[in-house]
Amino acid sequence: MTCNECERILLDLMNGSSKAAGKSGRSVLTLAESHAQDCTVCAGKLSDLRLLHAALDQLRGSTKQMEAPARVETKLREAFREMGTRSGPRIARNPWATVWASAAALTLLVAGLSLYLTPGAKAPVTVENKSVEPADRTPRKARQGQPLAPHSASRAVASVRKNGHASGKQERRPGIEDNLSQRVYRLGGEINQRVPAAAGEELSLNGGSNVIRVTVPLSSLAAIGVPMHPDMPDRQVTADVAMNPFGAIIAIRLVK
Amino acid sequence: MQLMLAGEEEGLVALYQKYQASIYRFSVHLTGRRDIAEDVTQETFLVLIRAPRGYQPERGALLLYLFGIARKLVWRAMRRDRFFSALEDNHPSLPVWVPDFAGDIGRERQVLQLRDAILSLPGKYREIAVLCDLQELSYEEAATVARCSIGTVRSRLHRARQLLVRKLKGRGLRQEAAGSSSVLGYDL
Repeated sequence: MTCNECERILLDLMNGSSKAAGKSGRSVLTLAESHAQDCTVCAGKLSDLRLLHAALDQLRGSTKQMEAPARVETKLREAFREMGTRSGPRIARNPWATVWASAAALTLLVAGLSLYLTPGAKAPVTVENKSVEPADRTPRKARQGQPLAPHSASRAVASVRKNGHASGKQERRPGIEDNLSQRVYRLGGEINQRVPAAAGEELSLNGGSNVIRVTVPLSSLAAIGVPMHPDMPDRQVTADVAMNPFGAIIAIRLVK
Repeated sequence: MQLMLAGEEEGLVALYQKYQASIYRFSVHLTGRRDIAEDVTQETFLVLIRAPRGYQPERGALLLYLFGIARKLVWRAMRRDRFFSALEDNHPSLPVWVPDFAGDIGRERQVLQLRDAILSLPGKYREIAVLCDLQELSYEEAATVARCSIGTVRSRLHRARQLLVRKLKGRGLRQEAAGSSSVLGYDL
């Protein structure tokens, strides 16, 4: 037996688990003792461990009857009663519930943003059913991106919304719509009614442009340069108006 | 435990009466302070009251579970109070009661020396020495409480005992203290 083995045995035998070693423990201890008789170093270690063991015994004995103060039990009883009265059967919280809910909310947010920002997913062109005020009553508004939109026709165009972008705002005034039958027709289903350009006509829509059919007073057409009879300013005229993606008028075809 | 889960106060009292002394002594041996040990004991059982389902019987005995809670609370309290403990006397509140050797001043001094030696051990050695040598847990049980391997427990315990022997010898512990003991004190 080496000194290291002897020391390991002696240290292990101090532990409570070695008590159950029984006969094998006794034989191992006998071996260690016999080694310690021949080895002065191990004999010294054995003596030290005996010393330590005796001191530990005394310390255990000195604190054997040490207990927590009675007030601890009183406080615990109060806490237990309080817990019992405050809450009935407690529902175990799932700590992952919050994480899953957050992840689901984030996923929905990202999906919504991606759909909103995807170029292909554009909303259909819609035309709001709003009245067009007469040329002489409507205050002229400077409108960016619409150099050719001088008046009511351009206001009708301004009410066109494409891709969710309103090209202009027009306040709805009750009564005007009824008094003046100047309205932009809804196009397509409820909304859109595209009018294809006839062959042979020199009309280039350059893609992305729209044609809407409007009914406006002649005076409105006169404001954008269409010749008209001066005695019939209030006569209604139906026209197909081609607009570029920004809402500016690029062509007008009189229909009726 | 079942009684306590059913909301019966008697269940709590029975558990407390059974385990409070062990938890309290464990805390006292680790900290050397009765005030901290009292708080730790109370908090340990409060944890059990608030979350009794946290104890899983298949992972070990309830006492080991309570030791694990107390161990965490002790180190937390020691970290919190480390700036204040230096102002106090050298562990004045720890009682030393030696009923069998009341007249033996030398043995009482020996107990005091060992207590101070244990408290001067590094934390990782101290907790293992307290668990194995003072609470008399096995290597396996100590490993469960300290959440480490059995090999780690063994090596730390050996190191702790070597340090204790060195400290005790350095303080002139009487050799005759172990004179009447059997071999290592065990009746194998």
